Amino acid sequence: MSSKHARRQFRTRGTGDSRSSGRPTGISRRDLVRLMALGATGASMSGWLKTLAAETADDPKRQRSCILLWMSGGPTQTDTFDMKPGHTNAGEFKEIDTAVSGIRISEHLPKLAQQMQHVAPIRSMTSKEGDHSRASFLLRTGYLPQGPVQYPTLGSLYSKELGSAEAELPSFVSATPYRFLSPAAYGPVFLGPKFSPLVVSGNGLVAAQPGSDAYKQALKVENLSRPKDVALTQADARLKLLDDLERDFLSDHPDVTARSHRATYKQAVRMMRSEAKAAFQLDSEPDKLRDSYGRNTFGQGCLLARRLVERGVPFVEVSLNGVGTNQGFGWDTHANNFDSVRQLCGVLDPAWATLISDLKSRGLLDSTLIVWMGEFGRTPKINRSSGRDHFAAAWTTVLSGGGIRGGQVIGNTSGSGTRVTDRPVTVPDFLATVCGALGIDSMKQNMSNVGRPIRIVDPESEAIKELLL
Amino acid sequence: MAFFQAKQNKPEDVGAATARIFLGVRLECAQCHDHPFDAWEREQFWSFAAFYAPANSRPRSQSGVAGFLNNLFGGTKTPPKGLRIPDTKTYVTPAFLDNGEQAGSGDARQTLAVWMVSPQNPYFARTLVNRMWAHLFGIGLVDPVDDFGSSNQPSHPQLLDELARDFAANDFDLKYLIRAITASRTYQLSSSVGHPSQTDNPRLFARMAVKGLSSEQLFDSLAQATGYRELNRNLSPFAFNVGTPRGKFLELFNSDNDKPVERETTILQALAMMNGQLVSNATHLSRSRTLAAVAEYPLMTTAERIEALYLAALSRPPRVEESARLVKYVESTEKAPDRRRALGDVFWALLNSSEFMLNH
Repeated sequence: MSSKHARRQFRTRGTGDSRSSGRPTGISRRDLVRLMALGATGASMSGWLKTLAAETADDPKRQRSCILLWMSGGPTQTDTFDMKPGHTNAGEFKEIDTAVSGIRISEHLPKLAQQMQHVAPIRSMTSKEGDHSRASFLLRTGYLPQGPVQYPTLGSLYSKELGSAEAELPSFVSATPYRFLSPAAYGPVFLGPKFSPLVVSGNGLVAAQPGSDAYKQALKVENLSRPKDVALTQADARLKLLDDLERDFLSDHPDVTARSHRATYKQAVRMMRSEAKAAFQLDSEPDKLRDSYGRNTFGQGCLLARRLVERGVPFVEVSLNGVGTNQGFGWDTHANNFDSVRQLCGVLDPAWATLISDLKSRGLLDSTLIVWMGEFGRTPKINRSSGRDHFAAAWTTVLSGGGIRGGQVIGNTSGSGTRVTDRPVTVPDFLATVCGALGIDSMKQNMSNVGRPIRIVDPESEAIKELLL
Repeated sequence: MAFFQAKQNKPEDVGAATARIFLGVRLECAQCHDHPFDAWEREQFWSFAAFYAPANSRPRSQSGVAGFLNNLFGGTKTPPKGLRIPDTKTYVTPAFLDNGEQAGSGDARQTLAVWMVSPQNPYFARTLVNRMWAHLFGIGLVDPVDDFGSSNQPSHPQLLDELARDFAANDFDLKYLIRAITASRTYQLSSSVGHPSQTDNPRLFARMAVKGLSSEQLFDSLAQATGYRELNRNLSPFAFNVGTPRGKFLELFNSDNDKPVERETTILQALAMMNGQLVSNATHLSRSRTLAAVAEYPLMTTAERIEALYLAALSRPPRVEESARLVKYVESTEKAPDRRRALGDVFWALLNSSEFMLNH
């Protein structure tokens, strides 16, 4: 090869990747991933990580990520983001000022209040679904259950758009999901197992109890390490034996099922042996940071989400299913609303606020959208058990982080909180906004199980323009 | 009864599900508008749903469980006045799907049941035949099995017609149907490619498709191959095997995708098979019944031990070249414990193979 040719090649590469010129190491994230796959980076991951974070942050074309904070049971808006001081529906809690003048939220979200410039509550959510199962389905897939048609969950839909096939980690990780009442709203269905969540502690019954160390077990990927009594050389020998069997079988059984089996095993081994799986080693974080997320399943789940996003995982879902003895529909506060919500906020507030500040300090906040939602809100009127019941006519969801203009409130409700008085936002409108913030074309279609194309978001939707950048 | 409860006892939901399950017809679209690409009209949907409409003349006092039971089994003594199509002023009375004929007077559900299995019903026999075909081949002649229609033609229409005709002529005898299908050359074809024309398109039935196992089948195969036993200590009928290794396994391997020919393995499933307790125990000398027996029985050669593991996992002896390859692997070590461990490796590979985990 002539030197002229070589130079031209070099220049072409340089032009195509001019963003990398200022980077000291000159190693791109993709290169790094490739090196890690080859096992070249060895144990000294800590040194690389800074480069990794800097690289991911600098790249304007960086894939966006989404962290969904799922509030199982339907969180009360009146005691969190849409308070009604002075009204009989107000309840026990007080409002406090936030970092953005004019926006006031609950006294039990003090740390989040300090991050309000990155946060945008939508107070005018409205739907007709007041049943846990149907409403969860609607919020988690964007559609209502309908006969034989299946709908993929948001994580599968979005990770298909945002993820990369070569990634070492799955594109969709779900921490402590509680699937009990709406199991159909948690899977990829017709998109296939490529887009199924890597579930971290699947039963979801580990409560976010502060002080308990249940979280240590809860946030592990089951069976990710080889059995202790199997040495690496032995594991290699086994995989070689298996590969011989698979090659023979596939040669005269070239079916989808067998091909998928072999491909998935390769992907699983790649993950087992990747450096990226260090994302699950929360022990390597400083104690102080772990404390500020909160030493509970949800807090550490948010920390895990940051570590995954940092390694390029486009969709992470962290579920807050309850605290104390209420494990499952923790936000379903039909009785003793105020005690429960105080405890839930005690877990939610530090985790969410730390997630925002931690992402920001690593330059990842601009490219990471954090969505806070449950299946519906709760009645502004307090019932006789000091509780609040299901309410879908006027409730709140919150967007925070990247891709949106934080520090503003969308919509408004009446003085009693029972009606939307300004800018009603339907669930499809809300999800179209989420897509907008993530740079996903919400009108894109996927072919469904019934041979009918289905759009990522219901076409009868309109994104909240003033919220998008 | 659970069926009615799951469908919230709504005529439209029960009607739609009945049509889908027994007639292979998806009417749901026509609930709100004329079907976009099939011939179904909205009025037809509601006329069919009207078979399940409650009678207006039923005494009000029969609410609760008594009313529910009467609704299910007592039928409707008087013909229902009809069902109103929502947001319209049109009332419809029960009418058959095939020719739009009115059901006439009498118990609406009984009339429907009689029509269902009558030779005049063009759907029932074809649907049942197709469902049985799908059960045996992993994919229907019409696929999905509950979507017969002009836009979803059968892969082999004459075959479907003939099977349906014979099935009806033999009094809808399922045993007859199963015998007929399983005695066919098509069913008895191997899954192995013997000719280049036998592609991986399962709808051609040019060879048997390689299908996923149900989670129960897979678990039981694993238990049988490894000698695993699990006591059922749980006395609650609603929490059968919950939290046991079997329960956890079934949950993990439960597939969203109900089409066995398209079953795909997930990462968590692969990890569980490679590293999980169940297979680890099965391939560990002191914890595995099968492996310990095979590895420690004194009078066998290495080749015979490998054959025993093949028979346990795959129900076949190894091919000559497989046996040679694996004997070489096991005998590449000198010491007896190392050789036993190497046999464990062979067993591990067999249990993780497509051949073990798939139906072929």
